[in-house]
Amino acid sequence: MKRIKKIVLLLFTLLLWITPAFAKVPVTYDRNTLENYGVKKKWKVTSENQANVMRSHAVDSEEKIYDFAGVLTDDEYNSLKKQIEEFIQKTNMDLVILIESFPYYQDRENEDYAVDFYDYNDFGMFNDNYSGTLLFRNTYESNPYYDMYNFGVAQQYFDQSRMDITLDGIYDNLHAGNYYEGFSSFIKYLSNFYDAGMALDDYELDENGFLQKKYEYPFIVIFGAAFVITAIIMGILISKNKMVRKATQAENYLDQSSVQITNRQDIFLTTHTTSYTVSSSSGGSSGGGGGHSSRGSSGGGHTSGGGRHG
Amino acid sequence: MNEANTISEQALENKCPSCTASIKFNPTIGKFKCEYCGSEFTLEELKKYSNNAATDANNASNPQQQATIEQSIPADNYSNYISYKCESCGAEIVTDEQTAATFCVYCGNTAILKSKLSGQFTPNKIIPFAKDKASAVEAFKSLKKGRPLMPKDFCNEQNIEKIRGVYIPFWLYDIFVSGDVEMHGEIITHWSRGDTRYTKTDIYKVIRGGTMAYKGIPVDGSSRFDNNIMNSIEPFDYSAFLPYNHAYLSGFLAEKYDEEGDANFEEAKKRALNSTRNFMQADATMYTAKAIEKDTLLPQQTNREYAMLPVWMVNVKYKNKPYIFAMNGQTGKFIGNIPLDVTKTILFAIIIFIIVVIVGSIISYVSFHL
Repeated sequence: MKRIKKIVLLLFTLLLWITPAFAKVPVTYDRNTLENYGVKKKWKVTSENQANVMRSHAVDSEEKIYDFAGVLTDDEYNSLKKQIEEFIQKTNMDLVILIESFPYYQDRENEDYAVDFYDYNDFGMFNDNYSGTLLFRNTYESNPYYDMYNFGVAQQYFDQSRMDITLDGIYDNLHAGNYYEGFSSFIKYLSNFYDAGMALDDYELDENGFLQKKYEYPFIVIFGAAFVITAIIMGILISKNKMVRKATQAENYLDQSSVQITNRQDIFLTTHTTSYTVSSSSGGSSGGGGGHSSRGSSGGGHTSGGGRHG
Repeated sequence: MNEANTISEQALENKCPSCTASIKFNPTIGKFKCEYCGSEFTLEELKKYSNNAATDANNASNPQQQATIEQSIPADNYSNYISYKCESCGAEIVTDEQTAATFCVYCGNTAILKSKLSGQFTPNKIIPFAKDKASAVEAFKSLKKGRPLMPKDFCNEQNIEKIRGVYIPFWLYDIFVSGDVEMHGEIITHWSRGDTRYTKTDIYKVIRGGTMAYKGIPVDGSSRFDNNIMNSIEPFDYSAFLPYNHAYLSGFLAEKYDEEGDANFEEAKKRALNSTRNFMQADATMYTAKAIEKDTLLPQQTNREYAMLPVWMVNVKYKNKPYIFAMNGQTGKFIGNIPLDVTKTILFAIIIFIIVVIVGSIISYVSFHL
């Protein structure tokens, strides 16, 4: 009996030792069993995006870290979860880490997948604009990839340059597979940028969460133009009262028939050519394509950092 | 013949051949018209009748019919003045040496001192008045149209102190200009290839030379009238020029020139040179930018004529300040400087500014949200 107990204990220890990486497999639900396929946000499920909805995992939005690839240990998960909860507490913006492994041909496939995951689960539901950030890691062996996606107000906090700094900053850790360190510093980056204030405070969000340049009254332009136009009109009106002018020309008295132009010389002296290059507006970012603002299959807007391979 | 007689013979008063009342040139009909009996005469008809009348007068040998004009002996400060008596009302009319024709300021009777405009002072030609006094008054009153910044009651007829129809002496210069103009010319072309924009500048030395003639550039020969005012009532239609005759002066003032020579030619020359430069510059059409660097233009005076041009001078007094207006007696062009109503001007500027700001704000807001 003692022997059997010993073996069971040993097996249990062995099991504990073998399985820590797979400790926290995300709980998923069958969307067919859920009301409106599990979409509680305002996005409408239509024939166009239904495939996207059905493809995304329906998960418990409180978990925050969805390690479908099994790269984090229990302890790492718990520690990160704590950091994320602190971040959410502080910023009132959601933060999600999604790790998957699937083959892809275009970077866009990663983005579609990650954005659908955020849009069709209950992330950011505790604030008005579904605000939050999702870090997606595709551990697909032959071409690993990661990128971050901002929704709602997070788009205003984490602009392209801040995203570049963040994504470049965690590259080494993610590339080396040090996921805990990488994700942990990702959260720190976002937390610090949040403390630094809104980067795009001259923008506002429309009802679908797209960034719109805020209307700013062009005070100097309008008042400057008004000043010039007023001066011109007043000049014309005042000149109507001043009709006495010295005559400086005599073209009225020119005898047109007497005009003889006998000397016409056009002597070429020199030439010079100057050139300048018009810079295109999208600046490339290091290690990946330029970030951009896009529309998800839900119809909502988000920004992405320009993914990194590695 | 004593001196008084000489002058009295030279004084010309046009008499109506029908009723012998004094007769004046009427600008609106372009004829002499008697205000008493309504008869109208052309200058030729009048001449014919007046020859007969002169014979009659000699036959009657009635010296009281003649104007009795005495030139006072120059004394002290009055050396430049001539005084003579109006034969109708007996008033003494005082004119200075520059005034060659005048009318009695009291009764309006006309009398002309021939001595001032005959001989070397006789003008070559004259444009008679085509606009009368009433149209000058009308023109003054209609100044208020389209001029929101003038004081409201400025154009009241009561503000007109004096209106005088004056023949102003003008020198008409014919100027022949010859020479070259040298310009700096640039031909600028833009194009782009890909993201690169190119600007090519070809620089040329451009020369245009030749000759051209200006006919009758007018320069006013009277120092009593502002040259700029006389510039501003130009142009006159020279096709209406008639050979000079004293008879046109009746009823109007006339000035004898007191400015002559280099200074006047200088003004005409400047205008001819400016216009020639512009003409040459305009002839160089292929250049994007051009600037005159130097020229060898030489203006030569080929002819000079002395002409009388009709001008209505309108003296206005508003709030105890004098203003001078002038109307081209041929074309009716009315000029002068009108004072600004300061309150109105400021108010106008503020209103325009506010309107532009409002319109600009709406445009800015709407275009942003489109």
